Amino acid sequence: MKTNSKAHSELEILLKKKARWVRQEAFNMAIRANRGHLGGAFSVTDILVSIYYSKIFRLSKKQHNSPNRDRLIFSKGHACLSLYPILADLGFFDKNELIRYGHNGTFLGGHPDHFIPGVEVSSGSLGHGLSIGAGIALSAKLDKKKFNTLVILGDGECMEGSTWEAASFASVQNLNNLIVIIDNNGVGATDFVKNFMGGKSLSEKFKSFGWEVFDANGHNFNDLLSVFIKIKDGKFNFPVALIAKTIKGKGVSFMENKYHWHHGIPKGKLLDQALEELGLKKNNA
Amino acid sequence: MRDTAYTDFRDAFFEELFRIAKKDPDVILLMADQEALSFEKFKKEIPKQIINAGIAEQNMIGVAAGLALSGKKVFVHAIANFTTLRCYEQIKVDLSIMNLPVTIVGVGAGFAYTSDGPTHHANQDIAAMRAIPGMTIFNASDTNSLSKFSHLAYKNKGPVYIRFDKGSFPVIYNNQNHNFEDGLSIIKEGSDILIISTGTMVHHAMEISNKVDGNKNRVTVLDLYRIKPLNEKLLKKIIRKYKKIITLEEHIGTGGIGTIISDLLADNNVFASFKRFALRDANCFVYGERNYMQRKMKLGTGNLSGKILNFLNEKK
Repeated sequence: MKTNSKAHSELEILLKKKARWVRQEAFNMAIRANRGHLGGAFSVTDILVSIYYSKIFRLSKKQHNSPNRDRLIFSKGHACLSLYPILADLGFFDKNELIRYGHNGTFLGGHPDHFIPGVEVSSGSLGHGLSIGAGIALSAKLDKKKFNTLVILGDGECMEGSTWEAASFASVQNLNNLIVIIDNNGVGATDFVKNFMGGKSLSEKFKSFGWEVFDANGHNFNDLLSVFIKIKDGKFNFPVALIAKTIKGKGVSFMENKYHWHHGIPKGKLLDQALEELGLKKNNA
Repeated sequence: MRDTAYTDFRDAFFEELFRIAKKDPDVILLMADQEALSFEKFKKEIPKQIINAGIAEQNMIGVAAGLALSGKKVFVHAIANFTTLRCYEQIKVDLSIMNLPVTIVGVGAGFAYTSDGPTHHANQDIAAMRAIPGMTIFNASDTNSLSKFSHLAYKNKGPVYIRFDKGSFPVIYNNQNHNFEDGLSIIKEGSDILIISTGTMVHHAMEISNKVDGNKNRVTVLDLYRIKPLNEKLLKKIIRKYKKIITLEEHIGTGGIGTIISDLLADNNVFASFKRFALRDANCFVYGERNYMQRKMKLGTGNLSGKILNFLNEKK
């Protein structure tokens, strides 16, 4: 990245622009539908944007039918409000479908289904993605294929015991082609995650399971991209976990770090304030 | 079917699966810290196709789903109760919602694990698994049918649950060409009453029929070896020939074949005298041999024969 600082700064500008647009789209979808999980969608936005638009991973529409494409498993499916605009923008389906979200007959559910173009697996029930990802990564090993399998988990999702069954399995099977990215926003639906899981960090936990662990600021594109480049294509002997520190509700000040906004939908004055902060007021647009 | 005569259910299944896996490197067997004699062959000859996933059934189903998404034909194995109920939601979400070709192979139908107690009894697995959309369910009454089920599962495009007993039981299917496509089979034909059973309770049904028949040939015994999807057309045709129908299973009465057949009768306006013999809605804390437990739980053949004879002699 350092070798081409001009391209780098252009990429950063693009990512910032896309992240702003994704949050706007996600918000509009939630308001139109009067439903959705904005808090988690906003915390994971910058992670998704940097994965999809940096082109570090093989996730484009053109590559999607290739058996060598990288796999992205969006295990925290409730945050799909930020995934759908990206997939539409990348041409997986028509952007008009975003407007139909939450309306009768839409194929964009409140949690993503495997048949949505660009989506690898159905998710919504937490604690499934890492096991499925381990199975896909294992198949790559068996078939001597080189692709990466990325699994995006929430930190709240790490309360599910099956996540740790999978963490053991991936470690024992030496799945160094498996990359977990944790949207570590610290907030559940009714309380802070530390009040459920205790104070031990996820880094320590994954390390103790035999994983290679990286930390990053999940809202800093430079930070994220430099780790992605380091960890892709199985450079380590172990599965890799990136613990990305994020803020739930990032981008709307009153939503930030508040569990109420796990699936709250702002109304009245708060709606106006959110529209303004997201750059959606007409005079700001 | 091969010339090998398997005496144990587990061998019958995994020996046959080994033959399939040897020819197709995409066949993968996962098990949850579970052993079988034939696993040695896998480990020796096709070690990449067998993975011991440990005591973590939820992860095992998820891993199987991931492998299946990449084109593998996956079989997972554990004690029937643990590979169905323990990971039920993984079966729903990872296998059924995505309709993946993963076969769940559960050993220990009903009270097969006898004195290991209610934690190890598979007595509500059929009820649970038949509520999973797209699931195919086979229940083996003998080793010959079971080894054939491995081929049917291998060819299936969606999830399959195969349940079987432990140890040795008499062979029912001697005809090597029986293809098991019908989903059910009449083992013995009589004139007055139809007993529909499944799994090794079919042997109970045969014993009962011998006691009830006396000098006449009154009892028909039907092995319902494919519980889902039900061959409704053939079942209706057979059922309509009898005025009295019985179901017999070592499974709770709610949700097993008794429920399935009573649904069939009700949905199709079939009017017949009908009795279900099944486990009551309770956990079994009786310890001892299988026959003793069955007697205590009112599924002993002596007790049942008397009841069925009375039912047969009832005037309508």
